[in-house]
Amino acid sequence: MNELDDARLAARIATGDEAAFVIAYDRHASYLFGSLVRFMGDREAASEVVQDAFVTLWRRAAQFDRAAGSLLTWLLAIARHRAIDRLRAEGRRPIRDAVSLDAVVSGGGTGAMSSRPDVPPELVADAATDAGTVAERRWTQAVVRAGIAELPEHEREVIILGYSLDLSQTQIAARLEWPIGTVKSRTRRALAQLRVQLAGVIDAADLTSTVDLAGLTPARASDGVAADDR
Amino acid sequence: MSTMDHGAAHERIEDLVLEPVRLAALAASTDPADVALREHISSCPTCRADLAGWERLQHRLSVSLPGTVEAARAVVEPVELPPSLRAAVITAARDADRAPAPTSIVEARSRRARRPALAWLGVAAAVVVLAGGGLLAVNQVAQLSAAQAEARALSATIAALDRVLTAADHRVVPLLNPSGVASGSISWSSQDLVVLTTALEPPPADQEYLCWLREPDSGAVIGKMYFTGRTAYWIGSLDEWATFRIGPDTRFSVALSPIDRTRPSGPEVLSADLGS
Repeated sequence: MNELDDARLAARIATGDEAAFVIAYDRHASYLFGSLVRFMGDREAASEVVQDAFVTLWRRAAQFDRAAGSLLTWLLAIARHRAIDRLRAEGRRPIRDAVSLDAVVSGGGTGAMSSRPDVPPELVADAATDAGTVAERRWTQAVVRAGIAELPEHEREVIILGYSLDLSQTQIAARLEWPIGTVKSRTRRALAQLRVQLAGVIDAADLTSTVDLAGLTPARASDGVAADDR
Repeated sequence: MSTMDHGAAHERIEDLVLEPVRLAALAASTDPADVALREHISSCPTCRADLAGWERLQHRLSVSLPGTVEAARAVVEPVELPPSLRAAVITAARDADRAPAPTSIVEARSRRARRPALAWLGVAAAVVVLAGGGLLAVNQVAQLSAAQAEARALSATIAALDRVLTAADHRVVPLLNPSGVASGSISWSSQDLVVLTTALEPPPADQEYLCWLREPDSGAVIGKMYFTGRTAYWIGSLDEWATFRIGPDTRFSVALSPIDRTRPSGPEVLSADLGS
């Protein structure tokens, strides 16, 4: 049963199959928790949202539609909704990095920021953006980071070097003293896994430009708003 | 006509995506293989979509990682799942039927609120807070778990109410008892729906108050009323499962029914015309 695809797993959960439910938990809980801890900055709150998300799966598995995305994507959507509700109820925003907004702003705006290697570029946009957009961006970032964290250590390392320092495959091979073929195969595996896992999240984020503050509902690019947050 | 076939195009794309700089430079590259790839994707929607998917992934990876190795490693450090969470989730699922929880609901039409109902709503909200606080205190020792669940539900109710009332498109309609007397309210925005009343007696153990939306030719059960003290409430959140749209003839009803019924079988005790 461990090999069941999402649709069959959800179908079994919908019939009250507890073993299938446990498989879904074992398959996706770590990713969900990693995303939520990064988004909320609180392990206890993240645990509660994970629990909420899986209880929702237990109650509503029959409504899972494989055509609309993977089970992980579905669970992430539920978790995102619950997490934003909780943060809003507590009157706070999702956490950002250790880099403070003050540091970004006092750095002189986009031009100055781009010269700071420790500041992710999208933080500059946060300085002048509404809470809903910030929450949406932070959620996507948290899920992407959780996805990288879920990779095997060697694959995680090539992604870090390739996307943090923009190193070429040859440079990564030299730095890690690995054969170039090993670097390429690990990079391919990592990217393939990330693309599958993040497909729903990234596609949604790229269609999302702003969020209704009342309900934090994504607005679509087709509504006439800029689609990118770069 | 393109000199690169489909298979070769995919091979080239897979090669380029290994390095974000190379993929970013594709548009301006004079490398014959890149020129051939550009020709191919200009006439191949499949490869174009594949390439766009990789570009989106690479963009997200780039903007999600800080620019130093140490900082990048820190933000993608694996997070250990609490070992006790698995058992807690399984237990929570087994108990799920007893736990009040937000339920998906509706897309609502934009309308102005009615002031008298809004005023009642404020009073009812205060009652929810006070009654919930009192109940929590009483149950703190004997039923800590139940009290915590109730506190979470109350917190969610108040948060939902706050969201509804601050939404520009919110609407509030009085709930009427069978005699036509205002006995509570139903309020909603495009995101949330909140039902509050102090007019209901707690149901017998084998029955519950079902909430449902009715059209002239159809209806759907959307939730059930929960109780804290004398206040009964139900909240729903619009999410990815929204299945019901409020129209001009939509009517909200609360009816007492045996537990686990999918349709109300008892008499209607409260109702509201949502489309009026």
